[in-house]
Amino acid sequence: MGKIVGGFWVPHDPVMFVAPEAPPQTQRDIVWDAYRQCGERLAELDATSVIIVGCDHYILFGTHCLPRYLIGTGDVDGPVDRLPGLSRRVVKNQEQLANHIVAQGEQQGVDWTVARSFTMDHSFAIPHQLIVQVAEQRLGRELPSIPVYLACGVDPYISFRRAAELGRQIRAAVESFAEDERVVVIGSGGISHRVGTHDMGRVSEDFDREVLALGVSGDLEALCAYRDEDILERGGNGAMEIRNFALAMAAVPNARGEIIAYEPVPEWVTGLGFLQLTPGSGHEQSPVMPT
Amino acid sequence: MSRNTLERVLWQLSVERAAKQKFREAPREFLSRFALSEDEVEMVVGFDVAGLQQAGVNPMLTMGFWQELSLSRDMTQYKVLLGATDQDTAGFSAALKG
Repeated sequence: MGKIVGGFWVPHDPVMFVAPEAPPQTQRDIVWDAYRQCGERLAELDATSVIIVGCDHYILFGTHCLPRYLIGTGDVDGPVDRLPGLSRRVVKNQEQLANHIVAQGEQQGVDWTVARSFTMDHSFAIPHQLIVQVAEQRLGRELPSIPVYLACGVDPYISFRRAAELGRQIRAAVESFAEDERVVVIGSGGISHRVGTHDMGRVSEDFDREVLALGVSGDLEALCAYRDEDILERGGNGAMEIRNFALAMAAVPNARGEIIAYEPVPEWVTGLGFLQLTPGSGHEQSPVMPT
Repeated sequence: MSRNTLERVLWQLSVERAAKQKFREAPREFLSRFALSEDEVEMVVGFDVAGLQQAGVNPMLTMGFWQELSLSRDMTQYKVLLGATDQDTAGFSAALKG
C-alpha cells in the first residue's frame, strides 16, 4: 500500500531568476536556503515519488481549452517559459501512479483531464529544480514527479472545495496503489503577489502570515473558506494559487505544518512562504470523497 | 466588448512566434482575421492595457503583450497606464523586463 509521507507549500517566483540580485542579500540567502532545506527534508522523508501541484499562467492553455484540473500521465518536459538559470529538461514521471490516480478517480466521480505528454511551466519547473533535484542528489536516485495543474491563474478558477477533494482523492489513490510508494505532494504557488496589475510589487505580509498560520494548524476548512474576491483584494491575483496549497494539505492525512521560511520581497513582487506538511496522528477522516 | 476574442488574440500574440511577427509587420492586417470591433482593434494597436483590462482581459495577458510587443516595454509606464499611484510605482522592482 502506498502512503503520503508529507507535503510542502513553496513559491514559484520567476522574478528570482530574472533578477536574482534585486533584493537585499539577507533576503536572497534566506529564500534560496529555504528551497535547499525543502530538498533536504524531501530526501529525509525517503520519498519514492513526488506530485507537484502547479498552475498555468495563460501560457499552456488558451481560450480554446481551459481545464479546471489536469494530470500529466506520460512524458513530461519543460519549462515552456525560458528563464535564466532554469534549465529545460525531460522529467521522469511516475506513470503507473499517475494512471492509477486517474483510474481510481473515475470510480469516485473525478474525471481528470489527462495530458499524455505535457510541457510544464515554471510552476512545476522551479520546485522541481530547487527541491526535487536537491533531494535526488542526496538520495542518489531519481524521484519521479507527477504534474498536477489546477486553474488558479485563469478563470474559471477551480473551487477550493474541488481542490481539496482532489487532494483526498489522490491520497485514496496512493493508499490503494499496488506498490510500496512513498509520495510527497508539493503545493506550488503564492503567497501574495500581483501579476500584470497596477499594484504589481505590493506584498501583503498580513495575508501571507494568516495563510501560513492555517498551514501550521492544518485548518483546511478555513483555508477553503476564502472567497475569491477577498483573496484578490488582500493577496492579489497571484494569491489565487493558494488553491494548490489546499490540494496538498488535503492529500496529507491530518496535516500539520511547520514554517521553514517566510520573506516579503517586493523586489521579487511576492510574499515567499515555505512550509512543510507532516501527517498527524489520531482519527483520520476518510480519504474517500463524498458521493 | 468581446473579452473572449481579445484574450484569444493576446494569447496567440504571447505564444505564437508567427503571430508576433505578423503583428509587428502589419498589426491591423493581423487583427482583421478576428471578430473585433473597431474600438477593440484600436485598443490592441494602441496598447491600451487599461482598456483591455476593463474589457475583462486577464492581466497576465496584458502584461505579456506589453512586454513582448510594445515599443516601450517599460513596466513602470505599464503600471502608470493602469492607474498606478506614486506609491504603487515607488518600490517597484527594477527586476522586471523593461
